[in-house]
This record gives sequence, C-alpha cells and structure tokens, in this order.
Amino acid sequence: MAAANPRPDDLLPLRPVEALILSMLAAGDRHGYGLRQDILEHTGGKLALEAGNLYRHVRRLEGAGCLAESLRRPAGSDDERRIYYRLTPFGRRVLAAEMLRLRSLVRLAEERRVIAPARP
Amino acid sequence: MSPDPGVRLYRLLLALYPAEFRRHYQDEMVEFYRDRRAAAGTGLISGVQLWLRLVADVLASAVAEHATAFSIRVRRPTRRENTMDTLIQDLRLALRGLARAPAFTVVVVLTLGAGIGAATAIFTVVNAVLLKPLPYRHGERTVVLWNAKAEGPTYNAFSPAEYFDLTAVHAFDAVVSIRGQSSTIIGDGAEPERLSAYVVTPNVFDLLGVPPALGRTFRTGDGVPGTERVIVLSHSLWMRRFGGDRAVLGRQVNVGGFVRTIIGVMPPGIGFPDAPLGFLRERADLWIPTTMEQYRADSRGNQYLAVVARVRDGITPAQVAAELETVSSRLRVAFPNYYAGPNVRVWRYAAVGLRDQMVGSVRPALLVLAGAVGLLLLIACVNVANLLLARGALRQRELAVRLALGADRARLLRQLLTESTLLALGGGGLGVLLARVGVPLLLRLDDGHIPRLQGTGLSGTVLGFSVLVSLATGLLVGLMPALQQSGTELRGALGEGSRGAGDGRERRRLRSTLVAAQVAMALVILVAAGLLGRSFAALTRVEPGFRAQGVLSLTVSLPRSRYDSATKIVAFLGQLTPAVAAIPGVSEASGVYPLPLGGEGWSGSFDVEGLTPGPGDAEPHAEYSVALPGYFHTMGIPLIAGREFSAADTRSTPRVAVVDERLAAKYWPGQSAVGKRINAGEDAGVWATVVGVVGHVHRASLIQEGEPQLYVPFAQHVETTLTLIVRTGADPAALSAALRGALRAVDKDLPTGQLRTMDQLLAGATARQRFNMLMIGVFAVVALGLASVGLYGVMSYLVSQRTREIGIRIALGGQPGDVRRMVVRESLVISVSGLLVGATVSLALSKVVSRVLFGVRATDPATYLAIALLLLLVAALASYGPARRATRVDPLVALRE
Repeated sequence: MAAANPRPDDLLPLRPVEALILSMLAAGDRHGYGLRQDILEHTGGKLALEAGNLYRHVRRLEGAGCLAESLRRPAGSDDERRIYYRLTPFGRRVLAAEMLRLRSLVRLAEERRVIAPARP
Repeated sequence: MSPDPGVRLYRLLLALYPAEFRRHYQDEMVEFYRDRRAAAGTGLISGVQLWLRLVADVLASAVAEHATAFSIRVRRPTRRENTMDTLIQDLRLALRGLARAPAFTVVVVLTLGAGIGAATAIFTVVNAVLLKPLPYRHGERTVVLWNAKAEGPTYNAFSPAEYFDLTAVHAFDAVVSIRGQSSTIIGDGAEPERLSAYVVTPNVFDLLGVPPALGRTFRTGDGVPGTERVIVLSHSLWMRRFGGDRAVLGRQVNVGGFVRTIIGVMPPGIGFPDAPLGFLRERADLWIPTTMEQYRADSRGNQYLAVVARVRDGITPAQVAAELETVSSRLRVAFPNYYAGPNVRVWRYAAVGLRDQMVGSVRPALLVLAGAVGLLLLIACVNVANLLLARGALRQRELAVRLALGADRARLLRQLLTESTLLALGGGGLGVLLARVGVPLLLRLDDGHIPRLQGTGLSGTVLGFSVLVSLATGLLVGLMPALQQSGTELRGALGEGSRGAGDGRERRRLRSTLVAAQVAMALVILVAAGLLGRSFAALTRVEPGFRAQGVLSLTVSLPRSRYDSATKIVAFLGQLTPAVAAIPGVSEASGVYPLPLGGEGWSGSFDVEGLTPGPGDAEPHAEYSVALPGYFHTMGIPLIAGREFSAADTRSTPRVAVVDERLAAKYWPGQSAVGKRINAGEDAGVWATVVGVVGHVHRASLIQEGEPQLYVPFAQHVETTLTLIVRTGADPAALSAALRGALRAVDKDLPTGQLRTMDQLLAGATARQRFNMLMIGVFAVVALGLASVGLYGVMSYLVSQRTREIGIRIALGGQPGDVRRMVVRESLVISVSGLLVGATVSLALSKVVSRVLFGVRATDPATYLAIALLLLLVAALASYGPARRATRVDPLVALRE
C-alpha cells in the first residue's frame, strides 16, 4: 500500500467518482451499498456503481489515506459483516483542495462567459 | 458458505481479483451484492440484466486491479509502459504457442465459435423481443385494459360507454380507444389495396409519446363528424404506396369509401399496435381519428373497442388495480344486468402492461431457448477446458522449468489466461460471423409469428454481449486449467519426470467431473428437445375438423360506402359465386366468415328455446359463423344430422341455423338437435330452427378446443367481410390468378384481398411450435455431438494415464475382455452420475418448460428414459475406442515406460 501522502495537492485532480465518494462521506459514515445509493440519488440516477468498480476506488482512496474504516457504527446497525467508511482529516483536506481547484475552473469559465456567473 | 446460489456464484466471480484485493473487500462486496439482488426485484429478466451488469463490472475492474497490482509490484516509474510490454509479450507468446499447435487451435476456435454463435443468435432474438425498450417514449407506463369476465387472462372488448368510464379513472393521464377497420385504399393511380387501418381517438400518439416523421399527428377536434376527414400514414405505407414522397401531405385519397386528407407520416418502426393486442392482430398501415362522442349513448353490450391507457407518473400497478376495482364495483351496482347478473360470476376492469401484452405469449419459449443455448455454450466450454487441460499436461515441464528459473507465478497464470482469452476471442469472432449468417435464417424460419422481431440484426448491444460472453468464456475455460497448473503441482512436476505419475488423481477427478457435468447438461437440452418434439407431433396429430387439402381461400372486404345495403351485398355474391364455381378445376365453391384458423374470431351468447339459465349458470355462449350454401361439404366438415344451408334459405324465409355436435350434446343431450329452436343474437321472439348438426372445427388454434359452434346462413345475416373457399383436385395455389380474375370481373375496384390455402393456414397454426422444436433440436444435436467428443477425449486420456496399470494387469493374466469392460464401466459410471444430476435439474425446470408444451407432460417418463438410454449408448460408444486401445497395450512396453 502506498504510504499516506503528506500533501493533498499531489492527489489532484481527483477522478469524478472519487470526488463524489469523498463528498458522500463528508456527510457521514457510509457502507459500500450506501455509497452507491447516495451517489445514485445525487447524480439523478446517472451514475450506478457496481461493487467491483466502487471498491476499486475505495481501495485507491484508502491506500492514499483519504478514507478509513469507521470504528463507530450508526445507531441501529448491528450487521457485523458491513464495514462503514469515514472521511479522514487528510481526505477532507484533499476533497477541499479538489473543490477549490474546481471553483477556480468555474470562475475562469464565468469570466470567459462560457456560463453565466452564479449569483453570490 | 451461503446456501444462496447467487451469492456462491458471485463469490466465484470474485476469484478473478488479485488475492490481496479479495482479502480486503470480498466480504463487503458479497454484502453489496445481496443488497443489489434484493433491490433488483425477482423477475427472471431483471435477474439476467443484473447479472450482465455484475459480470461486466467484475471483469472490467478485475482486469484493472490486476494491472494495478502488477505495476505496484514491479515498482518501476513507467508503470503503464511496463504493463503494456508484458501484455504484448504475453500476446506474442500465446500466439506463437497457438501457431505451433494448429489442430488444437482450430478445434478450440470452432467449438467456441459454435457455442458463442448460437448464444449470440438467440441473444439477438431475446434482446429484440424481450429486452429492447418499446419504441414509444411512454411505453413502460402504458397499459392495455380488458373487460375481464373470468379469472385468468381474457381479452374482451369494451363498449364506447365503458371507454368513457375508463377516461375518468384518476390513475390514468390519457386513455385511448382503438378499433380495427380493414379498409380499401383506392385512387391515386395505383391498384386498390386492402389495408389494415385503425380508428383511434386523436390522443393516441401523445399517449405513446411518438412524434411524427412528417407533418403532424392528430389533435383534439380531428375526427369530429362534419370536419375534414384526415389520416396519418405509417412509414411503411408511405414508402410502399407513395414512394416516400414528402409532398404527400395534404393529398387526398379514398380510404374505406371516403375522401380523406393525409396530414402526417409516422417514423419507421411505428405501426401501433406493433404486436398483437388481443384481437387487434395486424400492424397498422394508417390511422383514422374519431372522437367516440357520437357513440357515447350506445348499449353497454355493444363491445368492440380495445382501450389503452397511460398510467400517471408515480402510480403503482397495485394502485391502478385498486382504482379499477373501485370503478368496477360501482358499475356492478349501477348496471347489475351487465356486470352483476346471475350469469356473470367475476367481472372487473383489468390492466396489463403493454410490454407483457405484446410479448407475454412468447416469453416462456424464448426463455427455454435461451436456457438451452446457455447450456450449449457451457458444454462447449467444458470441451475446451478439457482440451486445455490435456495441453497443459504436455506443457507442464516447460512451465516448471520457467518457474524454477524464477518466473513469477502470477505472470505464468496471466500468460495462460491470455492464451485462453485469445482463443475465446477467436471463437467469438467466428461466432459473430455465424450469427450474422444464422439470424436471417432464424427470422425466415419464424415467418413473422414472433412479435417485435421484424428487422432485427446484429446491433451494438448484441456485439457487446458477444464480446462479454467471449471474455467470460476465455476466463472460464482458462481459469480451471491455469489455476491447476500454476498451483501446487508445479513444484513437483520437475521431479516427477516425464511419467507424470503424480499428476494423477486430482486432475483425473477434475476431468471426470467436467464430463459428468457435460452429460448432465446434454441431458437437460435433449429432454427439452424431446419434449418439444413430442409436443409438435401431438399438435400435428390434432384433427382440425375439416379437410385442408385442395382448399383455397380468398377473403373479401366490401367497402361500406358502396355496399351500404344487404341487398347490394347479396346481389354481389349472387354474381360472384357462380363465376367462381365456373372456374376450370374448381369442384366446389362456397364461403364463410370467419375462416377457421384465419386469425379472426367472433363469439357471443344465444338463447335456447325452453331453457332459462338458473342463477349462477353461464348464459349459452358459442363461436358464431356465417356460411354460404354448401360450406360444410366444400370444407369437408362432416354433416352428422339434418341438412346444410341451401340457396332456398333467404331473408324472406324462416330463420335457420346449423350447430356443431358439441353444442347439440350440451343443450339437447340424448335428443336430436334438428328441429329445436334458438335465438342467435336476433330480436326477442325471432327463433331460428336448427336444420343440421356438423362436426366441431378448431377455429382459433389447434391448441385450443374452442367453444361450441353455431352457424347462420349468410343471406339471413349479411356481413361485409367474407372468405370465399374453393375446393379443387389440383394444386389450389394454381387457382389464385383465376380467383382474382373472377373477383375483378364482378367489381374492378375491390382490392385483391388475402389468398391463402388451408394447408398454409394449418402450417401457420403449428409454426411457433415448429420453430421452437427446430431451434432446440439443432441445439440438442450439437450438444450431443460435443458431449460425445468430450466423453471420448476424457476416456482416451484416462486410458493413456493408466497404461502402466493396464500393462501390469495384462502381464499378470488379466483378460482383454475384463480390461475393456473396466474402461467402459468407468465411462458409464461417469455418465450415470451426470444423468442423475441432469435429470434432477430437468425436473426442477419442468415447470418452466411445461408452459411451451402441448399434449405431453414436462415430466414425461418415456422421454426421460429414452434420452438417458441414448446418452448411455453414446457414452458406451465413446469409450469403446479407448477401451480397445487399452487391450492392445504391450505389457513389456508399458512396464518399461
């Protein structure tokens, strides 16, 4: 497993799916299927991840230290076979860095009148 | 291990990942699978779709993971290049290896090609018929409604008043009524032609969500009496009759006796109803709008409409059923004489999904075929896996040496998989070629009896499926031998020397198990084929009730605009019948409507004099026909008592009727029906006297017995559609031109109508069963061939493995006969275990298979026994060659080896 990278910028740009996974975890711990359902909902049904693809990204993010197995369990969940993932502090920084990167891209597009500027 | 076979299969799939990945995520992925499975629903089709997705997902990500795992291990900066290098190297090695063994390569590619080709061909059909979305945007939300008068599926039409009931149902946001009206198109320079036209409410295309290709579709206000008469053309009619001329919009044509303006053309592939919806059977050539308002007050008993509705977004089928039940119960109270009388036991409005309605009848047969072809592919895989095992045994030393020289085990495994994948892709390529040739043949064989199949060919989806199947096949056939070779045995292989004595038990057991599985799968296919063959035989033995040979039929539809009175129609027939009878070669001529097996139906209730149905009794009900004088004799329907209709039965003479033997036996048991009186749909008090009793005829299909039958003379019940029939001693098809000519001589503006021999109709009535039988028969023959090759190969191998043992036996005085028996016995033991498994699987599947059978039970012991014996015979034959070779072993040679 690759050693945790001390600098978030080295991981950028994130793949869109990875950014989505981290964003979902930012709202709370999830297990694999929960991540799928969450992503399905937030992409209007466009992105339906299957297990293989999903865990491939989970493995990469876990290897990079962005997410980790959660030791807490949500109330009411007693299924020991399920593993919940949490966003690590490092992962949160990576996600934030990615979002800032995207924001500057959006700004650029707004300046160039590709899209109308968002109202503040 | 979980008892759930799906979970087990999924776990097996996960074996494709690198071990490290698996250790980490396997359990979670299985949990993930469980959730997916639970959410995907229980239907077979959703199951298949789920598994296609899962397999594709696992294959893609497992390959990617292997690449990642590999690049991490090498820890080289140019990871990607390195992976590519290895891949190219693997490919080169594999190609070189295969080129060195051309016979092996050809056999494997041919075997896989046959399997993948058959699978691709059947998938093409399954995809077109069952999986591909309907060509309407709102197709999945569309339901077909029926007047359900009994439990189970019934396809009863609606009256206009009932259509208006349904437009008020809140669960629907659009409701359409449709009725067929075969019409003649004349003028515009071309020959008159009989078309299939549908009279629809104007919102039909909005409901389906299909925009026109040209012009506009109907809008509110079209079809109101007194406004301009408009029509919309189907694409095929536009191309066929108007040459695809864009200036056709606004042009006026005469359809069904009225001048109508063309306002639009629909896109290709739209001919709603595109597959039979109950009694609406043909695809549309054109559509005519109507508001139905003028019929609102018609009797509720006057039922002739089909009704289609679109379910509001977010409303579940259960909610639809519940609301329809509410409406139905209100109507039972409001109109007890129609819906709740003593003669009506169960009545309700029922909804069936449009797709189910269109393809529901062929689904079981297609699923059986898909299952058979899947098994066939597996049998092919087993053969190839066996060949690879044999080849692997030869290459063991090579691999062992490379391992000893420091080759990475994963690398060897990958190389073996590369080879099998390459072979599978070769087989896949061949398979796609075979499917390209096979699918048109298949379509020709079907002859238009399977809905939604028109114009099907290889598409992107189908090619994707073939690639996926090829890759899966490559992994499947490669994995078993590869794992075994790169596994523990390799360590010993070097030391073992060329004798390979230690190679023994496990490999032998693996190969025997594979062959037993093959026999099991062959049994399943062969039993299904045997059962379908027996069904077909049973169907062809059904007596249709008439003599088909030498009879030609011509269906004529008279336009109501010109033939607007019974007198005119009778006069027309008065001219036509003698003209037809005078055609040289015609021995008899008559007419009937509807024609037996002609696809049209007509049934209704009637009254029997002196019989009042008690509460809860069903009203007398029969299949109606109108017939010309001499019909029964011409058609070869036996006259059991009384007389036929004659020219003396006219509008001015007392009403008469002819009934079939079943009707006579049901209502006048033990008495003569002749002279009894019935009321066949006339005003109260108008009784018709039964003048004759005839044999029962299969009218709707050979499978269904049908209801009792009732005939009335054409002259007393005039219809605008009639089928002329002529009997000849010669080839009936040769009379076609003369029959058309006679028709043209009487009325030159009539369309030519539909010419069919009764033999054609009989063949058509068994077409679907013949199609099923032929398809599965081909699979069965191939399966049998592959299984016997597999058995032969394995027995040869087992014998060669035991050369030494056999040599010793013979040296110690064993008899050649004993040795032969030993070998054959071993083959039979393998086969019998396969047969037992296969029979169990077959019995488990009998419920599915029984839905496509006729006249034979899915558990028919004779079929099972015959197939089992056949397979045992094949097993004995396949082992005989190797057994003989075994006895020729020279003990000295065997011992020295």
